[in-house]
Amino acid sequence: MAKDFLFDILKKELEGAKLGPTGEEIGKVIFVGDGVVQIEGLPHAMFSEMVEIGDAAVPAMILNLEEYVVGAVVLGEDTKIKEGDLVKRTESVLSVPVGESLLGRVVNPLGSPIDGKGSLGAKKETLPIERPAPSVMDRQGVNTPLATGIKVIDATIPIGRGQRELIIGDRQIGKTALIQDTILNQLNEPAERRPICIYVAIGQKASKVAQFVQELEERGAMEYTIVVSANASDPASLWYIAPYAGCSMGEYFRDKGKDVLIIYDDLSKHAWAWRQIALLLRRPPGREAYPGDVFYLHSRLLERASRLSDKKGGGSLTALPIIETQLGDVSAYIPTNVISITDGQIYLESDLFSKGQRPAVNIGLSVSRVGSAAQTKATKKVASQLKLDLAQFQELAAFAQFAQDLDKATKAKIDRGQHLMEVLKQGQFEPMPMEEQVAVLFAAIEGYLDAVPLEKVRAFEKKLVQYLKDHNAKVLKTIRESRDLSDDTKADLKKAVETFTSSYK
Amino acid sequence: MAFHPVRNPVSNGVSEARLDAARQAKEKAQRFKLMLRKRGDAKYASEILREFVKAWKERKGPIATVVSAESLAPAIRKEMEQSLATKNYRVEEKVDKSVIGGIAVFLGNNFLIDGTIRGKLKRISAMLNK
Repeated sequence: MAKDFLFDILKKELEGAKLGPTGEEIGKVIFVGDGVVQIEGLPHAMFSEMVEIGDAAVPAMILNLEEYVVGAVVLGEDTKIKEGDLVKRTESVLSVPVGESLLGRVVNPLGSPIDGKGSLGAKKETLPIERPAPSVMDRQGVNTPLATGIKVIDATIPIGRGQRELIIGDRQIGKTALIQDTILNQLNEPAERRPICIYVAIGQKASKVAQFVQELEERGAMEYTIVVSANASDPASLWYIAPYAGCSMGEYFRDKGKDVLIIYDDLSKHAWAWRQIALLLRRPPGREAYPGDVFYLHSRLLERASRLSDKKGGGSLTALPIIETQLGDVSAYIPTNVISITDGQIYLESDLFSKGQRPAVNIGLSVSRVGSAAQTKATKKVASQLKLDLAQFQELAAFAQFAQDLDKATKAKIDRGQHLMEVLKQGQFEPMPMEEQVAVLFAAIEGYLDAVPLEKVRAFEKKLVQYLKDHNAKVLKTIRESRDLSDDTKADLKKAVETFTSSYK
Repeated sequence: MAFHPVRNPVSNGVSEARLDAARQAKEKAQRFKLMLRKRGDAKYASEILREFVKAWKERKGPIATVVSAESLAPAIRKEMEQSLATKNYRVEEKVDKSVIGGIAVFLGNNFLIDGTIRGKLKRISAMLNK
């Protein structure tokens, strides 16, 4: 009985399917080792094509086309492959599933879920992992801000939608925490303007990724997030394809006119993986043993970040690549490459970190080459004074360490600078909406904080925000909705801050 | 090993002419070895040998390997040979129990027509897994 039932299902499934013998091109494995295979045959194989090796159908991607052999990297377990195994073509370039069903999921670089929540569903659209970047005519300038919720970044190094902004710094300095807060901050955006976030973890510890996902899940941020993870134990080939796969998943949404934020964590490990593959494929090594195309490796990836023209739907893909430096050395090969590709960098410094300035952003060395065009008017109005004050402070800070008796004006400037630096500190998981940032920074540059002792600045800030929320919600609402700080609002805000300061003792 | 051009043993019952040919072949091989050594290509000797064996086997046209679970019935074999001969293929037979049933034909080294039960089951499983 049960058998008949199964047969019926099978019959229905197989109806109309073509299972007759068809001719297919084959090859034979002549070498396998270290995740690389050399295959004899496959005369018509394409570059970047997927092939299946042996009875276990281990997937591999073709990277070398030579006269008699093709070289491929194994995207699965190479221990299942033997010399002499048959290799079959799939006649399609490496593609990953894309679409809404990926939201809230953790997948590997091939698009298979690894979070134990079942399959992605029957209807699957796929896109090749390597896609051409939008052409000049398909783009428009970056003009919309992407709020990170981090005061120091939104005010001094603003990021626009469609920009590529590098985050660079030593290990254990809060790079991942920074972008985690950025993802969490998108909860403050109204749902229709909220970007879809894609976090690509390359060679990260599985425990770290799990923790990351858990934090997002607890705070309700996984709803609009996709995590693509090539864990530390996965083969280098998966590390290599991870960012391209994540980018294609993002481009699906971008081409539908949505905003996407993609984070590559991190590209130095990606370069290591490519170096390993290239050396095993016997490509000649260059500087630091990286192959000659290591620049192109990252430039073609980051060029896919774009703000599409209104004709093309006006979607955007913002890329935040991360580079881990060794002992703050930004002049190494990969960091300089990626710095020159991106539209600016956020430089995190270990000195600042150990001094307690967190996030440890070095404002002097960080730049955003297109961002200021994409700052809300309100933030722009408070940020210009802030930047000026900080620049003056940094110039004078060196003096302050030696000089005992400074004139009053200098002392005031140093004092102001110290208070501003204190205001720019921000704890983890505390992203701040734009209107609150504007209010706090306004209070700081207008000098209402100068009387507050340094160690109490953060408590003051918290109470100020709470006070405004309780008593002056209208002002905050006006800033949020108009995205501007008009003279009337400014006066209202000033009055509110003054009332609060006089009551705060 | 089916055929070894260098170390092919010469048995006692062969004619003087064949013995002579063997001697000549041996000398040729010897000279070839010397040339390789002179050019510093001795390290490729085993690869050259492998390629030569392949070329020798295919000197009378490419080989089609027919794989089946049991040895072919004479009628089928004849038909196979005839139809493959139109494309200049010479037939070589191979018995492999794991194909379960049906016939797979390897044309040369790069092409496979898989009409076996095993191949069919694999295609079904691939389709159902999709």
